[in-house]
Amino acid sequence: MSGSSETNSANDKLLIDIGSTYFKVSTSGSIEQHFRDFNKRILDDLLHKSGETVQRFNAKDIHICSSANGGLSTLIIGLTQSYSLKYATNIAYNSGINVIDSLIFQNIEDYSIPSDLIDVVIIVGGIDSNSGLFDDRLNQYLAKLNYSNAVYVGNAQDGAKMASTVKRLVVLPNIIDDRLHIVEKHLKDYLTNLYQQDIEGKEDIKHLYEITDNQIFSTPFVVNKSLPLINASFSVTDPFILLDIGGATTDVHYSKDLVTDNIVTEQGHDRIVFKKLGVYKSRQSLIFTAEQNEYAYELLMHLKVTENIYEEHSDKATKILMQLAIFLVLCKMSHYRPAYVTLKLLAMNSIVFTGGITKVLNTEDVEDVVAFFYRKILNSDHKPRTVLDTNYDIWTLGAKDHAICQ
Amino acid sequence: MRPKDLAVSHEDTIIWVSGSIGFDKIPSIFEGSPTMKVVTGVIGNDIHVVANRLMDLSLNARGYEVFNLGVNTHLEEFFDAAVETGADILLISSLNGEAEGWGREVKIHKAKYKSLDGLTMMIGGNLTVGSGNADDIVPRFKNYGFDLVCHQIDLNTGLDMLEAHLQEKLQEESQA
Repeated sequence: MSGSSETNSANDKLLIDIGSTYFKVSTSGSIEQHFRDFNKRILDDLLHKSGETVQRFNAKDIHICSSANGGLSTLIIGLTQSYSLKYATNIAYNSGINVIDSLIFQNIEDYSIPSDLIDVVIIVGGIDSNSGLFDDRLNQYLAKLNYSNAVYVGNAQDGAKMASTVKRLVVLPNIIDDRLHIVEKHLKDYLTNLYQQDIEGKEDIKHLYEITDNQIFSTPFVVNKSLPLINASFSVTDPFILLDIGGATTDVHYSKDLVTDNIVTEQGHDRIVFKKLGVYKSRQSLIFTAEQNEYAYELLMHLKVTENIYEEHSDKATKILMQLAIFLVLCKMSHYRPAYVTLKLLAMNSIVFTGGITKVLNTEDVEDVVAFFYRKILNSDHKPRTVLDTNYDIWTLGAKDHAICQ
Repeated sequence: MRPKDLAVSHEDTIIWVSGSIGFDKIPSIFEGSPTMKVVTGVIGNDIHVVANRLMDLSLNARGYEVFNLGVNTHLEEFFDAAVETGADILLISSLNGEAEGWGREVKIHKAKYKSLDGLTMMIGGNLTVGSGNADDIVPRFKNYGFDLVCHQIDLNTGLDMLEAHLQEKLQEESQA
């Protein structure tokens, strides 16, 4: 910590990742991983298990990211599926926000009002030379909705009018330009900052600022930063996907080459977070998803177990659930069970696994499930190269790069 | 001055192309009124881009504000673009009969939108497999929901037809 006589050299950084189930502590020479004690505050647990390591570093050299916050939720109100809703959804997912629903304004009376608190409502529609697209029905809908923030990123003229009628409305530049192309920057910055404020606002995470002078970032954001650098540590061939299957959520990072949508954006890799797909905290939701998938039963047979495994709490059950999670997330990215984005999985050359899953499964276990998926769902013998990031090198790569940038 | 005609025999440009070269700005019949917005593109699984590019240039030269969706465009994307831009005209091009299947769904899709009643719908190109007969094809596409149908008509003639139609529509609106 600050003021310690045994501080490390100026270039050495301590990188900490707080997950929902594990936390990881990485220095230039070693990486530690500890199962979290949920009866303790995160800071107390961290100092109890890795206190010696933490105390060797100055607060300015400690960089922390967290995926334990669960993320924000958004409701998007737009004019059309092909432009306003599609663009806003793309930006929201890339900012780490979960889209709980999207609705078309012309039919706004037909939609039910979500009962849960919405973290941010996004309103979008029209190019700047078009106007008068939103009327009083929007105000009536928003008046019934329980939300914390609202942001308008549609045509400029309607935005100016709406700012005076909708409470807490932030008006940003249009995400659709005059050639109907997407403009990501302003909304993405706004949502990323909101996500950031949410992490910082979490009681448990707040205490971590006692040991670091740096901003705490979300883990998917840091991992996404490492993707252009991934070839430095692994023999991965583009296009690839990276699955970070953890205790509570599953993050999928994918090369833009795998997407059929013709949205032209700047970054080469997008990401999507499945909030309730994990093997510890989200175990029940994972099992529920598996029960809805008719091929999951066949996968269990293939793995020589029965559905009774769902009731077990053993190493074997964890392993099977991890294999199921791989299968289910691949289904969600395929035409079979599309969820937001469908990838051209037959064009994929590599599939990289990171997160808690690499501590439980070996390459053979993973390849077995991937081959099963391709055979059953895509009727193909395609075999992308499987890479397991067993030492959290990808996160370290992204965190280091990010720490250097800071 | 009207742009010169261009004789091109390339397959993908044969229909709409005898159109324009030079693309000098020509006086618009709508001088003084707000610029008319046109959404255009090639429908369906069709990558014939040359005529699409020439149409874009010709429409711009005639003073329209053009939103070109390019090739491989599905019907929903055309209508969605018309909503987002507030377009006055939807001008679809097609070659070798690709529009036939898509055309049948125009009324069903358009009915889902509440703000497209005033949209002028136009289609042009080679609207059938082979040469076909305009006397059969034009009424068929009008029945699908298009106001103007140009089967194997050169680009300038087609755009003249569009201007005449718009003028007529404006007169009707002013009388109403």
